[in-house]
Amino acid sequence: MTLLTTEALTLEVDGRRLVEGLALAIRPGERWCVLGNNGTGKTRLLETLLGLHPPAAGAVHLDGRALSAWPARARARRIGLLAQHEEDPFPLTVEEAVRQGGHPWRRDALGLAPLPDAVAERIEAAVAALELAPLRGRNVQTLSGGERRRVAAATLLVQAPRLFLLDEPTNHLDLRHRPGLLRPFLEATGRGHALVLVTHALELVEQVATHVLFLYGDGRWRAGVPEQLLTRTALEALYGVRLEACRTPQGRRLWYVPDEVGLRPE
Amino acid sequence: MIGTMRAMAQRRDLAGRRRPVGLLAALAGLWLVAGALALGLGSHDLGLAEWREAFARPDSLPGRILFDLRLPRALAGAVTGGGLAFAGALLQVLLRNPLADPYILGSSGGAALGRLAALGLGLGGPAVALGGLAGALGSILLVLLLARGPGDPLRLLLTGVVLSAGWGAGIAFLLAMAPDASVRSLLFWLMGDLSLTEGPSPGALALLPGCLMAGALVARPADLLLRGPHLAHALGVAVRPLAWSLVALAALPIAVAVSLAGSLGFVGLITPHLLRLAGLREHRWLLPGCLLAGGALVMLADTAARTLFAPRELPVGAFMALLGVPLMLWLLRRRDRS
Repeated sequence: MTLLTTEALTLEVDGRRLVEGLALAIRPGERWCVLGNNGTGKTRLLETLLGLHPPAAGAVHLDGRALSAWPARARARRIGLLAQHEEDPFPLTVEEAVRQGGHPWRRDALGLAPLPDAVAERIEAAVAALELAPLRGRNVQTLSGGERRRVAAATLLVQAPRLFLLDEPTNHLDLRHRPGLLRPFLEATGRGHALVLVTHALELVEQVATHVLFLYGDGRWRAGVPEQLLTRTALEALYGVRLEACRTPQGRRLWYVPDEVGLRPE
Repeated sequence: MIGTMRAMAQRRDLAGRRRPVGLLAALAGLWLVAGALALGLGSHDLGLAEWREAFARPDSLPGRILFDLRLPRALAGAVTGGGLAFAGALLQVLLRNPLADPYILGSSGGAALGRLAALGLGLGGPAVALGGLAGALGSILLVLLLARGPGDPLRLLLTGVVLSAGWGAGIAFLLAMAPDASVRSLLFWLMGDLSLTEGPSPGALALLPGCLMAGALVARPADLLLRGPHLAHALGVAVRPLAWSLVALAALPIAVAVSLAGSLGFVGLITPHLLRLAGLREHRWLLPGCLLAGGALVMLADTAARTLFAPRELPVGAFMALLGVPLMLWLLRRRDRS
């Protein structure tokens, strides 16, 4: 049973065709990494899978049913997004923000009943996993960019949809919290959740991807397994830049741009 | 030890249970006190014996002061203030803008124009109030129409601002043409004034419990929408129906308020902010809090406006501004510091 499929999905922004005829099938346990340069439609794709924009053509099916046919809260139990930015024009504590993740799981839409026990447990687990306990009472408006990311990630963990969409989740994060933010999501894929991850961090892709999607920004796309797509020729064609790889002492492959800064020719 | 206690105290705050309930109870108390002051104080202060007489014989002098003059005015203040604060909180959610107030969609200008038009046509009493009501609702509808629905906050805001400017020009024109005698009452009305009110009709009174119940329906989704439409959508809020409900829920109290008291400023802008700062951040607490605090504020301000400079009466709107300007500046300073 697939969690999400797209049929001939076409994405356009401002009349520019970014993706054409995309056919994806995402199954439980899979970890998809979406790669491409800026403006190639990566975020647009996630937002379309979530139903924020109608596709220019084609269709998205969630759990065997047209995306738009799902009632909002039932949809939110199946698919959720860690967005690139959060806006917070009004004060709110970290605790309140994280609790909001439980909204789709409330027994009544009005939220008069207390949160189910499973959600309350997830709140504690997410706060612990993302080391938010010292921030619980802080106003989210006063947090740093990285701290906000962790709050947003905790909210998504509380929401616990079957399919997680993560839009550049490690942006703004310090080195210490980078693995901490991703670990709970990766663990969840072991329990039948799936993950779509938009990122520019190739070292991350090398470690987590079970599937890779390339977006070229001109309508073309390629989907496949890492062994197929994470090659020097394929990546160089995708990014339009010269790439080289080396190995870490642990044997992991690291990609880098040899003349990245362009000041010191090697 | 002290650290642990502080941590525990903080935890309880954050759990968001005990404190909002206590605050709401305090606001209810304030509302009652404000109401009692509005009924008891005036050119003729009512003593205990006169209260008793008023209730025993409603047609006695104290009875007539209480039931014919002060009660309608206090109720009008409660409905106006509560409704405006409630509507302000909802529009702040809809527009995700801390500066949104009940008149941001041009309702006050529309109401003034509707009222002036009714006066100009030589209509009296209830027709004038109805003209105001229709003007306020009409302006909100027109803004929604021009902005193609409530979905885009920036477009709504700009359309509202532009339309308000248009209404302002119309009002200036009509004022310039109006006979001098009526200009003074119009000016008072434009500032917000309760001295001419005949009190809220039963329908307008039903607004307060109505808002309370309708507010409970949108409170949770409103919490989420306040954090942006994308997040709200992702967490399972049907954003477009919610946006329409928010406008509809805000429009009615605004229209009733302007038809009762003119364009009374500040209460709809400041009350939600004050309550949020006091800890009522979630709308299931904030919305009832607004109904109570807004009503209490206007009743207090109106009592002060008609007693402090007696026998002269200031328009309550001027008095609200006197309170509101320093409060708003203080709020902004506090915000900058955090």
